[in-house]
Amino acid sequence: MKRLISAALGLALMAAPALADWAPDGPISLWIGFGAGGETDTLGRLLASEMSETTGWDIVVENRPGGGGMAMFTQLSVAEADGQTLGMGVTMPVLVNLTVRPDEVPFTLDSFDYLGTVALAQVGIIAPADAPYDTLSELVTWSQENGGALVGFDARPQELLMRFVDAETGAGFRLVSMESSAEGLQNVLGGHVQAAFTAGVHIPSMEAGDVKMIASANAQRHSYAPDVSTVQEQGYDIFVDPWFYVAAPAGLPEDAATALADAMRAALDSETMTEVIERTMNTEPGDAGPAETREMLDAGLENAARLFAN
Amino acid sequence: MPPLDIILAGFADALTLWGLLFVIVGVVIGQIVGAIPGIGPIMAMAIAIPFTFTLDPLFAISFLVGINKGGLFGAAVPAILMNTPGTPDAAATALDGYPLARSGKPYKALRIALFSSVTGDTASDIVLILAAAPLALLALQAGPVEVLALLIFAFAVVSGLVGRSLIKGLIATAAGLLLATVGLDPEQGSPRFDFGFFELYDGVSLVAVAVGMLAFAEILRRLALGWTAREVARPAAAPQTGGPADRRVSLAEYLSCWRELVRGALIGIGVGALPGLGSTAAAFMSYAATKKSDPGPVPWGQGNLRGIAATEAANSAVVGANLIPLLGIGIPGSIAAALLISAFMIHGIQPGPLLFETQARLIYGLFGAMLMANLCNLIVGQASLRLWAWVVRAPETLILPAALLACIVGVYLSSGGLFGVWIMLMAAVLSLVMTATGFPVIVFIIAFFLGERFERSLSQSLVILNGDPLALRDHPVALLLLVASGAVAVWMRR
Amino acid sequence: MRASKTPRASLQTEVTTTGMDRISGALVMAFALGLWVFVIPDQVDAADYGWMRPRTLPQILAVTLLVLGALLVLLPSRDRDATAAGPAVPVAIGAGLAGGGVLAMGLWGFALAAPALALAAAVFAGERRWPWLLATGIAVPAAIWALVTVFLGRPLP
Repeated sequence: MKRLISAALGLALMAAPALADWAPDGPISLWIGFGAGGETDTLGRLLASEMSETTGWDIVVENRPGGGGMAMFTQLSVAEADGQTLGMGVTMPVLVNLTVRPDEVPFTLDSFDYLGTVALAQVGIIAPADAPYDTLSELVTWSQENGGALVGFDARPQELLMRFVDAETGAGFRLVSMESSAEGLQNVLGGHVQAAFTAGVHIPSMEAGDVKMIASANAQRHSYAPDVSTVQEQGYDIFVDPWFYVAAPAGLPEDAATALADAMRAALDSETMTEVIERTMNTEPGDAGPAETREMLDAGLENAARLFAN
Repeated sequence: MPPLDIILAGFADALTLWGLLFVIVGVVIGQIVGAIPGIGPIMAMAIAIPFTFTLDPLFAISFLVGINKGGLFGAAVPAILMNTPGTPDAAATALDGYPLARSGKPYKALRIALFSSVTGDTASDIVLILAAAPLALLALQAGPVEVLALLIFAFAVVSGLVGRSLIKGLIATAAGLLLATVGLDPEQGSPRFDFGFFELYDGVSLVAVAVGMLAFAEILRRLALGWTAREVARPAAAPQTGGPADRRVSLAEYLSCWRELVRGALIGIGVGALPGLGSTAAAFMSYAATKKSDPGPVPWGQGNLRGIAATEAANSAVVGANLIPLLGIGIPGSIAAALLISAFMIHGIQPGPLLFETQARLIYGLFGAMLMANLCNLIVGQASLRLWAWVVRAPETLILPAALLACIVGVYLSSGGLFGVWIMLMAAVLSLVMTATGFPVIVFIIAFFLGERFERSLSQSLVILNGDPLALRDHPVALLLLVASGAVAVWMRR
Repeated sequence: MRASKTPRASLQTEVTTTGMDRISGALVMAFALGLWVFVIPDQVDAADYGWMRPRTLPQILAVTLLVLGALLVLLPSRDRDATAAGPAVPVAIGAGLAGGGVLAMGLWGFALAAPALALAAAVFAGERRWPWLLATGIAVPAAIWALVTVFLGRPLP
């Protein structure tokens, strides 16, 4: 409590000049599209406290969970575009919903102005260390010979990726829905499934030699496992790239947009954030600015259309 | 186990003045927020995490552990004094705690809850310290099929336990499971029963339903009683009466609960070691087991000390045991454990199988802090129970509106807006209707809480078994649990 | 439910309690039917693959509720206690009051609605003494407001 009070006082006393001319009129709300305790929540809260520190703005974090960020972005799309309401979410659920049920989603990519990306979630496919297959292709063969391999997934795009591979190879995968990466890891370790998608939680077990990674599901290989090839490199033209990013309601005044994007960039480039993202996500902070983020989302929408085509 | 000198160094790191200070502050915050409906230790931990980034990792984690443990006892306070549990974990505690408090012994009820809570907590911490790694490996053997069987077993126990009509208990279970299907389905991620509200995509807020059905409904009922009675200046809770023997819990009384304490702690540890089952179910299963024994002079549900001991020992034991999968294999067993993981990770510590080798000193420091937090909980609790008992001596007409606002604000904050508050109101009305028509509310809530896990386990099991019931032969433990479920439902009714 | 252990109620109450159980059973059946016929087709997507489809569990539960509702109509219990939830009309008024308060909070914000709601609840519960009313109407909302916005740094409506 003491720390909370002193931090609150610290914020109130710090009226440092902002990076640009624009300054918020009162506290800025950063909405998190997920509940407390997840990766988005942790990243968002640290980003907010780092931005507060460098700019002196009062940034308040609010959790608005629901539908992988859909509830939050729906509310954000109709919030006032004065730069005092921002939202942080993950690309994949938004792109999936925009692809699958565009009529029901009350916003489009144009409903927002984008400030930039925060980080990329590195998604890998893992298997028990002693499994008789070392790559996704070998898992496909194993699956064909053993009446269908059980593969855990915890997000729709991962399921679609496997169905895509299944359609191309006739592997006969039996896909098991998991609540989280952690549950996927648990089932791989317990030998209940033959492989599973996980985002980061498997790294300690990999170092301990209990599991191995058979593919990176991203477009690139992972920084901590440069020897493991991607699904694309193994011959299946598909990937999932969930980016954490920050958006604001469309129609932000230009000076506000610039000031916010700069402030976010400065916070992300700080040693603290780089360190934290390295520790929690095993990757570097995202470096896409407003325009690149928008381009990336447009490209992501095309990729999502391909994922859902079959 | 690492060498003794590292273990001792770890404990020594924790047992410093600063370490003690952080633990105490954590426990105090935890006890306060735990007692306020809707806020609770989870939210306090989520808010505190960014502030702990600059702290030494051990202090940061000690502080969070302090909040978590303090919240355990905090939640029992309003359950006992006013029949309005701060979190559903404490709902079972109200069964015997509230009648005892109403009979003029609120101090006694609070003390036995505190002692049992600390006992269960310490027992599970000791198990964690001695056997985290092997237990975590054992828990890994429980796959989706075994978890599904265990959930069915829990439903059988709880619908058999509460209420007197099995049919009504089963209807409440089915309705609770149905409410849990609102939101994205676990298999294909398509929205169900959202009625056009995006807020429902993640399902109906657990906090809103729990606070609405348990606390808000009781507040509305009490307000209405006040309106009917038209007498002012009633205190919100019965004041302490009787001599010193009615205030304290003697060693003999504490020891007379030993069976409940041991059984509760064992049930809590078992449930806690398996990720995702939760302390509410543990508390009710422990109460169910206890209720089959001879109550002695005071019938169950009328202020029996052993009933309070059974539930508090069990729900507190879950918390230490939740760290078994976290420290053993890096998998969080609850939301609180997930928050602890993120605190570990922002300090660059990846929980996982190598933790005991790479971070042995820190882990033993954490164990030291946990034991210290239990002691602090005991001491701070002794002081805070006086404070709370004093607070609720204020007129009901002050406490009830204050609790009403606290529920609204707590749910507003934790479920992300007024939408959650409306859900809470609807849940309160449903709870009152169910009470008036004799359907067991708590059965509904437990089914609702475990519903998502149930559907997912069912889906996973069907894929793993390939839809073939005969494949269950490969899962003897699950088979045993399923048979036991039927037996226990019948047995509980006798 | 074993009748032997309950105190013997008058014949008339027994008839009405079992009657109430029959009515609740019928309502549960009606709800289950409505769920199956109208709500599930409208609110849950059908899917063409997988063991567990989005509709699987809701449909299982609808059937379960239908069967259990029928059982309750056939085998009503006598353990209902209509007073357990408090006096019906005042409770309904209280719930309406709370609903009005939440509505007001959405429209005019916490600072205006919370004191009004707290005050109304206190008067409703029978408080008539000015000092206590003031404490409930002003001090309590102010304390909660300070705790949340100042110490926790969270905004209120």
